[in-house]
Amino acid sequence: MDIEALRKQYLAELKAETAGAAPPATSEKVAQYAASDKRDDGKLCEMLASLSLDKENYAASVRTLLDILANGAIGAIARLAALRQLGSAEFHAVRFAPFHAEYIALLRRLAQDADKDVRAAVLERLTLTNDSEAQKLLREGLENVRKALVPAAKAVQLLARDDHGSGMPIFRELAAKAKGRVREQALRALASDPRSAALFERIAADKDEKTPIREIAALNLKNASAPRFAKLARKLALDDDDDDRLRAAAVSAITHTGEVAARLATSRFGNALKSVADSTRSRALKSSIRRFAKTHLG
Amino acid sequence: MNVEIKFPSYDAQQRTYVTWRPVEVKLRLLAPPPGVANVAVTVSAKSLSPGGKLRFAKTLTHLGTPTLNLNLPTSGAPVSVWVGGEFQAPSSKYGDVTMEVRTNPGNQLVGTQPTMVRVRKNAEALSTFERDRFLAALATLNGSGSGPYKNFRDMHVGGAPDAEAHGGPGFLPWHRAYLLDFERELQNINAEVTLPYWRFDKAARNLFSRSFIGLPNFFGQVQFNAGHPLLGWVAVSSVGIQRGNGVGPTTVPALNSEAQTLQPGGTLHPNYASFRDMQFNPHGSAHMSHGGGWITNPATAPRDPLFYMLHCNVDRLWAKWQWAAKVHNPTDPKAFTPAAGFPAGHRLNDALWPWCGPLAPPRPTTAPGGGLAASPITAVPGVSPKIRDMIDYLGTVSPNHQAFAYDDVPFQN
Amino acid sequence: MTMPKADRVIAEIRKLPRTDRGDRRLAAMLGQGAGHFDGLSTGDAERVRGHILAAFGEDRSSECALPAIREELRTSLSPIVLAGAARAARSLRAIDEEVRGLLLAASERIALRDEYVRFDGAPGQTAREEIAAALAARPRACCAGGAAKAADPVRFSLPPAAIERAAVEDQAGERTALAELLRRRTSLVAFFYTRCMNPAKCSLTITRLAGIAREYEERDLNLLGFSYDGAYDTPARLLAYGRDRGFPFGEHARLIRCRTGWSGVRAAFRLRVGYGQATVNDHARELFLVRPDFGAVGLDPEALADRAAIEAYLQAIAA
Repeated sequence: MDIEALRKQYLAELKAETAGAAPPATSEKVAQYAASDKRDDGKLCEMLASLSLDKENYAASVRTLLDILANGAIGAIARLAALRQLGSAEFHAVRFAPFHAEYIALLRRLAQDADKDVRAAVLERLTLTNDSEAQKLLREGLENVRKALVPAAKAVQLLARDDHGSGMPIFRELAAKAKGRVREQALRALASDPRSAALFERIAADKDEKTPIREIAALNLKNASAPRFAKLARKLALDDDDDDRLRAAAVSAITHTGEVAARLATSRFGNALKSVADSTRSRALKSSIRRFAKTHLG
Repeated sequence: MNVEIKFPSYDAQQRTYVTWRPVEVKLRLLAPPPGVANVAVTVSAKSLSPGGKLRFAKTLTHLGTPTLNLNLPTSGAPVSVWVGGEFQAPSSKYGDVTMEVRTNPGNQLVGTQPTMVRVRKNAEALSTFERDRFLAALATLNGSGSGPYKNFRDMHVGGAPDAEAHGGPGFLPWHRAYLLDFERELQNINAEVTLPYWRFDKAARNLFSRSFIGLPNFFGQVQFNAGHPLLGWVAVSSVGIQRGNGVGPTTVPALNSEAQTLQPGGTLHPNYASFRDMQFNPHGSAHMSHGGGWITNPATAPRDPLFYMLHCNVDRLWAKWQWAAKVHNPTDPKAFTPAAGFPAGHRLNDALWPWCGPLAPPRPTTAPGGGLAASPITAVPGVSPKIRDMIDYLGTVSPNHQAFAYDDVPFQN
Repeated sequence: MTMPKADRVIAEIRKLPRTDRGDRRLAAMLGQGAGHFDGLSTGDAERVRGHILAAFGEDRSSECALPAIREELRTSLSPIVLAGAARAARSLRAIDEEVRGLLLAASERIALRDEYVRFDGAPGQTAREEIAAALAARPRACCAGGAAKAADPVRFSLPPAAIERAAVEDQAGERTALAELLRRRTSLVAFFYTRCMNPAKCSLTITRLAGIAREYEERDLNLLGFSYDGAYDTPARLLAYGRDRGFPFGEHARLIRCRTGWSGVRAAFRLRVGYGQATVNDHARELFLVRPDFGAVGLDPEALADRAAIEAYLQAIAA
């Protein structure tokens, strides 16, 4: 192959694709359009997506983005596009630093915005950095101290991002008493709670529970207590009467968790699994067992 | 009579790996026939189908050929042959291509060496076998309780560490080292694995599926098929992966395409100083294209395994621009930015943190994870790379290569 | 509506009189293990701490808070804590070169993540603006003299009963009685936990302890990293944490967790650590030398970066 010819061909392809392409939108044009009476939010989104964040334009662009995000008169779809672009800008922390304090203050204010999508997106961003004001709003929503800003299951998920948070008692209660998605998220939220190991064991072993819930409980147990998970996973894997999806998850977790595999990777367990592989009709279980054997039994 | 084939390096299993970049292999006659000064041989490769292909030359060049005739002295003195993968013909597993030495004439097989043309591939194009092998290594690394997933409390907390990774022109070299460290950790688990890339300017139906990197549900909780290796994924102290719904199997994210990244407005970026603005678009835009979840924030993004594939594509774009613009020499001012005006950690001769160890404030005072993982195949970039070491990754102008390459970025000297 | 605990504590802080007695009460409130921090998230604990520190900054001198001001300026990543520390620093008799340097370092540390902070309900300044105001503050005219000297190391004896009751486990899963471990030889004990969010605290502590352990391999000295979070810090987690920080595990160098008797250990060492609903919510950096007879001395945690200081402490405790 002629590599130089390939390079020239590649350059020609690049040229063909990009020649004559519209230049990036400038912050002035975006700001003007956002302020105009004839503004179309879809068009504004397109302009925002092509807004230049190059060094020369960075400060002006971020200023424009903050103004659009803050402006409740602009449609949520465009404000959310501005929020996404601000997210891109955040990836250069040094350039973003002069705007950071204002940005966080704005997000905290918008956590109670009239638009539910803006609220959800803003709380999503704030909780990624464990913002205590956002956490307080979410917690108060779950405790019915204020009107919930996002659905309860989402609030649990967002609150649980901070493993130094204060939601654990709420999560424990919801994992025990709530239903559906709220319970599922609450159970996930307990993943690092050593005190919930017994709850995980009970749910994971309870065949009356739904498989996805048992799967979450089993995998949480792996995180909370590897020795207890090893016992549970062995039992699940070898129980022909149990759900194949759950058994496959157990075998997979054994295979890829060093601390658990160290307890179970014996030829006796391997042989027992081999019998399971021979008899089961589940492709997922067969394939999980094959991976276990390849990784740990050579 | 036999021919000893000696590659520059082998791993503990006595295996050797190549990329597009040729390496110097020594051939030596063992038990030669008496009465002659030389034995004529032909070097070639035998490939499985599908399998990698090799190219051979007498010097370091991208102009290798599928076969090469050589005379091997009966004195036993070694003769060099440069061996590299044939561009666009990578391997999928070890031993799917074997270097062969045959007498010429006679066609008698007198030496063989299996190998693998091991390069980073588009995640979308991986075979099921390659995909599962990668996922298994990923899950095992995650389940080892150590490595990058445990360190990023120190590495991505904002502040000083963030400034090291994202605070200047060192952004691309820093992430190149980070990915290489990560890939080598994976290769310690399974040496055939390479890091695939997510080509984020195209739809990726195979990648964004429950059998590969998972699909988020309504709540942004990533779902996998039964028995998937990543089901038990642990990041910090939670189980599972949170990712927004912005990118599905058919989504083409709204961001700069490869062409727009390399050649905006029809002109190839003339130097690194202008190219590196891709930190925002497409890099930042790719992060944000998911709309929510860990991957949308620098402090949490490495919790999502997709992060490594996203950055692999960012690195591929840099590698491709380097090839297109022919800028591999670290001393070429076009290859990196001038030293003045940038903070420590972002200048050509600066050692990269955390591999260089703890530093004095305002730079990070801890350096979890130690030095950059070693490779049995190459000694570079060493345990404590500098920015300059991460530029000529392929050994285009420098004598060493870093034992990684991209499926669509050739070696050219 | 019940007021959240953190808000309640902040309201109490605001009510405290600015008298000597009120200042002593405020200073006592800074202890991370104090009851008003119990159960709070780290974010709320920081908010409360920031308010306690800021309260010192109103009208009166805050010399009694100086150790806390120094430590927060040296390690905290929290804008509200640093803003509170800066306000407290403003009312010091004089901002000496050390505190000035710490203020500058703190400002640099949060340069990429500055936030507006509010101490009295009104929209406030950013944390870096608060620090800049402290740096620009004039010395208080009313008072003479420099800043208070660092306190001498605290000597005490660990209560044998509490130590005898504690069972510990190291990174290799080896279980032993804490008393037995401490009786083997003099021990340098640093407390930490693997989930610590602040690299300037636990990660740095274990990195530095690892350095000492490497240098002191031949010395008859235990180097112990002791987890605050025994329920979570399993042997596997301790092992990984130490390994990632180059900790040279061995007979003399271990990372340990308590299996039983933690509350006694916490009290015996008088640890300044608070707990939220899930894990530690805040802690001081704490370093001790413990003799085989359980005689102990609390060290300046910065001694981990100062071999001469460690040697001096070792000689002193041997005497």
